[in-house]
Amino acid sequence: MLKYIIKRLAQSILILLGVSLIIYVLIRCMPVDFVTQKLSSITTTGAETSQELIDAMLKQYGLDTNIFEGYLSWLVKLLKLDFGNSFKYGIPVIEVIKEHMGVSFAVAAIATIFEFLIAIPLGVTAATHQYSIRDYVVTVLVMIGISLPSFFFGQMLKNIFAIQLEWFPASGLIDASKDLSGFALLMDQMWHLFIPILTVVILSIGGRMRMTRTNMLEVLNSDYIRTARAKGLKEKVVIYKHAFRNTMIPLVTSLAGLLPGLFSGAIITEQVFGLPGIGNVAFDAMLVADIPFIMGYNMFLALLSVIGVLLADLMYAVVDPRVKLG
Amino acid sequence: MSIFNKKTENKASSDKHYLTSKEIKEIAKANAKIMKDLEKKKYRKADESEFITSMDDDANILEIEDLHTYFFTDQGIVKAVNGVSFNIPKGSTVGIVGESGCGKSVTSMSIMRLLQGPTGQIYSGSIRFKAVDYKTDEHGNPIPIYKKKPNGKILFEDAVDKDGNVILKKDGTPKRVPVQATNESGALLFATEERVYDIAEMPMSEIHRLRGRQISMIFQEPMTSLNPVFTIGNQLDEVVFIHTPGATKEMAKARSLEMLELVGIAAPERVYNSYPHELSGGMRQRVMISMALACDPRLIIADEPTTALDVTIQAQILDLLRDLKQRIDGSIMLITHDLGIIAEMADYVVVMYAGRIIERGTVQEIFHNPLHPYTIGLQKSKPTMDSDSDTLFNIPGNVPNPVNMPKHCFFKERCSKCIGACSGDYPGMIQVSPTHYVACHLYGEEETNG
Repeated sequence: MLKYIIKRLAQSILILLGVSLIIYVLIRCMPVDFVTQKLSSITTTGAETSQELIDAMLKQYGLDTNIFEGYLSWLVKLLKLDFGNSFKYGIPVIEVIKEHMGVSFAVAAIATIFEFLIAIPLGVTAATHQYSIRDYVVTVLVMIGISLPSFFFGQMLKNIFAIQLEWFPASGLIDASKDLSGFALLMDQMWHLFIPILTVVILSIGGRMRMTRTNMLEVLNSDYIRTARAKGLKEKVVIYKHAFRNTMIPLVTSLAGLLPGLFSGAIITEQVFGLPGIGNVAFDAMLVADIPFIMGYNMFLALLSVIGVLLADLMYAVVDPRVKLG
Repeated sequence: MSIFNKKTENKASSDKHYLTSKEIKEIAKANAKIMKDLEKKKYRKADESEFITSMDDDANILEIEDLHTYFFTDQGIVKAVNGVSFNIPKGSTVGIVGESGCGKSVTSMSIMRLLQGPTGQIYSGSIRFKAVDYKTDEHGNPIPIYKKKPNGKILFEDAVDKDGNVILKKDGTPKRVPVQATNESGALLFATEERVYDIAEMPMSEIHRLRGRQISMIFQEPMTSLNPVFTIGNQLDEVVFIHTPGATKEMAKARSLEMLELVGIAAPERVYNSYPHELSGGMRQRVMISMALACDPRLIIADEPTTALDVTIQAQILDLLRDLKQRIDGSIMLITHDLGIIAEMADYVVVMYAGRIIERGTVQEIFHNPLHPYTIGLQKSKPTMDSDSDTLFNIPGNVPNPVNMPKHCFFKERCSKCIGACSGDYPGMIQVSPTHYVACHLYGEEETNG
């Protein structure tokens, strides 16, 4: 088991190297770099720029090298565990990530918990009452949920609950008019996050529910469920013991995507609600080609993805005794 | 214009094998209504009196009368079991034979009420089963049997709470409670009585009284019939747990190990801790059998128990079933399409064709004096050692379309002994001896309702 994990971690290093190379090349291929953008904002104010200034700035940001030299120097820095300073914010990348991670993680973690708590029971009832009114209602509602784009649905919820009904604050994370601290501050922040979380939950339930329903239906038609019923087990035990354990097996695969999803931030939702989350920050960084930050952020997500896949594989062996790791 | 002509031509042909989407919609709509009513009946709350009946003949353990089990598909109603009646006498083995799709398995699924709803439904008929159930007091609790002293008085002991401390009454003397009797494996005993249930009328919430404890089933696919994520022990213990009042973990395990040993598994402890994928097909079928026998059922339904196994294991499994039947004094309903197995195992034989019984009798009658042309054909198509022919006899033709069954005998098109009467109505059951019945126009007009 330990040997397997070490082997997989060693493989991940190679994967991460490949990922970093691809991302670096892609950013450097962007038509506009950070210096050009910065200078263009200066020139719009009427100031003159000289070729010397441009060269100096390119050198300062390490953009005077070609792609591979640039990549190598980034890699050498990384070996010293240094992700460099963000171009845009001027502070270390790690600091930026740390500062904005909290909000995104809170939204994603709470939303994921509710997503599972709601979607799985819905999927189970839809499957056990297949083709009944209950099944149709649930399926249609979640289909609507899947089909709505988050910028539209988020905006709609905001319009109804925050602007028209004024039950919740419309945007931001902190109420500037109050001076709160400790528990009161936390509650106020939760209050601000209510509609963003609601948006994320409603939009994500659909996929998970449909997955549960499909898996459950497949399991319910299998021979061992018939055996379980023939034994004289109550229907509840048949479904929640015999069928559910088998339904869990494919659900575990989705764990692989869950881990990076918790930390990546919801770019569009954060934009709609003006939250200072990591998704929002990453989007801004992308616009100005902030190379150290984009690299740091994406490598962070790549690392989480790799760990997520490894965890999913380990969980597979836990829920399905037929799987042997090695 | 030519397209138009083609369309009218197709419509004119009465023998069409496709349905227009409009027709499918109409069928689906009509079916939905029937299925809804039947499903409602299945999940209704019913008083015991609604499904308690009595047996026609007290020597039988199971009586099936005019059973109709239908599948409501969008192509039409498939009458998988279409008016089947037969009895299983106590302590006997009844073999059901017939080709694939003739309704053998659906009959057994109807008895177990395992039909996949809402499409599969028992449409009408009754399945009377003589069960041994717990006597209940006015509150619906089972009545315990108490240990008795040699002089016939009930034995009392001090009442003990969960931690083993003696419970005292207000005046300081220990509280005395009667001692409930247990069987040799430690299960608490309750008073029982024979009761006849009409399985077809039972709501699903009551069916657990029968499944597993009174009637148990051995399925034809041992490879997929065990849950892959639980150990054999876990799945076996479960049966003991749900059907034995007051069962403890140790008792369930002891019983499971005993059952595994009974079905001839050499290392029960190892198998007990194994997962199904770690066992071979024969071993899994033995586990299935031990599971079916764990609560000493009165009726075992074996649905092609050896089809998926190789010949040597087949013989072992059949020997095992025969032995066990003797030991627990149960009855077996053996479903198979292997006539050899029937000849070896069964006391009575029921021959089914296209959802109906065409002939039934004792095993001697069916094998030495088959009457129905289909039974005769089945006998002839069995390979024999002394025949010098290179080809095996086969019955020509196919089973009629299950959706549109003809009015006349279903076997008419394939029958070599057709007479004029065969174009008439479906033949009734004709009694040719006290135990031998056949549904064929060749044998007189003396009809009975057997």
